[in-house]
Order: sequence, then C-alpha cells, then structure tokens
Amino acid sequence: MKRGPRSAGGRQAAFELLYQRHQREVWALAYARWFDADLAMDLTQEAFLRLWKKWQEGEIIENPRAWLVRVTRNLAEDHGKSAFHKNGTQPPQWLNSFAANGHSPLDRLERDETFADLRKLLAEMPEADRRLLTLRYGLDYDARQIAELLGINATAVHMRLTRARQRLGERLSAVGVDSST
Amino acid sequence: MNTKRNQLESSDDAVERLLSSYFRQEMPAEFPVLNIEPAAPTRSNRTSWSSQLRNRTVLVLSVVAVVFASIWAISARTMRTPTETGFDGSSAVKRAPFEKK
Repeated sequence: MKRGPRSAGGRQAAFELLYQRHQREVWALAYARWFDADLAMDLTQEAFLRLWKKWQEGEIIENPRAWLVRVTRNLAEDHGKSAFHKNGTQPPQWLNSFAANGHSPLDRLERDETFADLRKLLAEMPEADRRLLTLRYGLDYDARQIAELLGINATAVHMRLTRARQRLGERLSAVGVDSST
Repeated sequence: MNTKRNQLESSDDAVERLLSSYFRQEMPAEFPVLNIEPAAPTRSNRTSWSSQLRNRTVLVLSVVAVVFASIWAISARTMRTPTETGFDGSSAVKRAPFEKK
C-alpha cells in the first residue's frame, strides 16, 4: 500500500512534484467541461488544494492522479450546480492569480472569431468527446495516454477521436468556418 | 474515390490543425504556484509525546514503589512474631481459665 510522505517537508516536496506533473491534465479535464480557461484554472487549484488538505489530515490516497481526475470532474459538475461557490476551500484571491495568454487584441481578432465559433461547436459536443479532444490537442496526448488517464480502451479512444473530428469538420463547414485558417 | 479520400484527409488535417491551434491558445502558459505550507507540528503533539513518557515513568515508579512496600510490609510482619514476653520484659504466667490467683 502506498503511503504519503510522513515528514512535513517531504510531503510538501511530493505535493509540488505532483502539482507540476499533473496540473495540465487536471486543467484540461476541467476545461473540457465548461470551455472556460479561467474557471478551469480555479477548479485545478481547488482540486489540488483539496488533495493537499487530505494529505495534511493524514489520509492515504493510493492513486493521487486518479483521485485528482475524479475530484476535478466532480468539481466541474458542482460548478454547474453552483455548489462550488458555496464549498470552495480557498479565498477568492487565490483563485484569480491566473493571467490569460497574452496576445494583442488586434492580432487575435481574426482568430478569435474562428475560435469563438469552434468553442461554440465544441461545447455542443458530447462531454466524452470534448474530454478526448481537449486531452488530445491541449496536451498532445496520444490515444494510449488518454486511455490510461481516463481508464478506457485505447482503440475506443482512437475511434471516438476520429468520429469527433469528422463531426466537427462537418459542423464547421455547415456554419461557414474555414478550418484551414 | 481517391480524390474524395484525399479531400477527407485534408479536411481532417485542417480540423486537427485548427484544434491544436485553439487548444494551444487556451492552455495556460504557466500555472500559478500554490501557496501551501506544511502544517507545523502542533504543540499538543509534542506535549502529548512528552507527557506520555512522563506518565509511563510515573506508572513504572509507582509499581516499583508498591512492590517494594509490599515486600517490606511482609518481611516486617514475619520478623515481629508475638512472644510471651511483655513490653517491659515481664513474663506472662500461664493460668487456666477462671483459675483464682
């Protein structure tokens, strides 16, 4: 049975390593639910802080990555029910420390229009497809890595990704978005 | 047929490029450092450890004291056997019950 590090310093170092290693995954999973980068960052921090709290309380979490995946999904769902706002563990100033990617508004204008259409179409897709697409293109994960993270079959991931891309391509064409831009 | 397949593949590639570009923009360049601090060992934990040691020491000493006291009491009782001599050294005279002096 895996146990968390017992000394306070060792625990903090292990936690920081875990945060470095899985922060992008957790963010991607949160993002896949609401397609909101800032909210995904809030949920990511909340998930990691909850894990830290558990460690501080001496709770043994055998698979922190799986725990984070589950908690992040739950937090993202809770956000929809507004429960997150009531049950968040950290003060709001901790949540707003993320600065959005910086491009000048003029540079982004053209792409933003395309991305806004894409975001809308992605948001209309089934959640499982959104999750796969986010992990595939947000993190550059291959089917095997996605399957490992989500605990599903790699072949199914590959097939589902292909279908999701096809559907998305058709919808983009239907709304007049040139995907080659 | 080949033309159609090529079109589909190029369309799929275009969607992939668009998705990569979109998610690259959305993905945060860096993540904020989480302000976590290890909980300092609480005073109560330290005192509980030392008080446990103290309590155990007191218990052991008490048991040892009780054992020694018991041994002393038993040995003292066996040494002070009743004699037929009084405290002032006078000897007792054996008389039959209800015998007149």
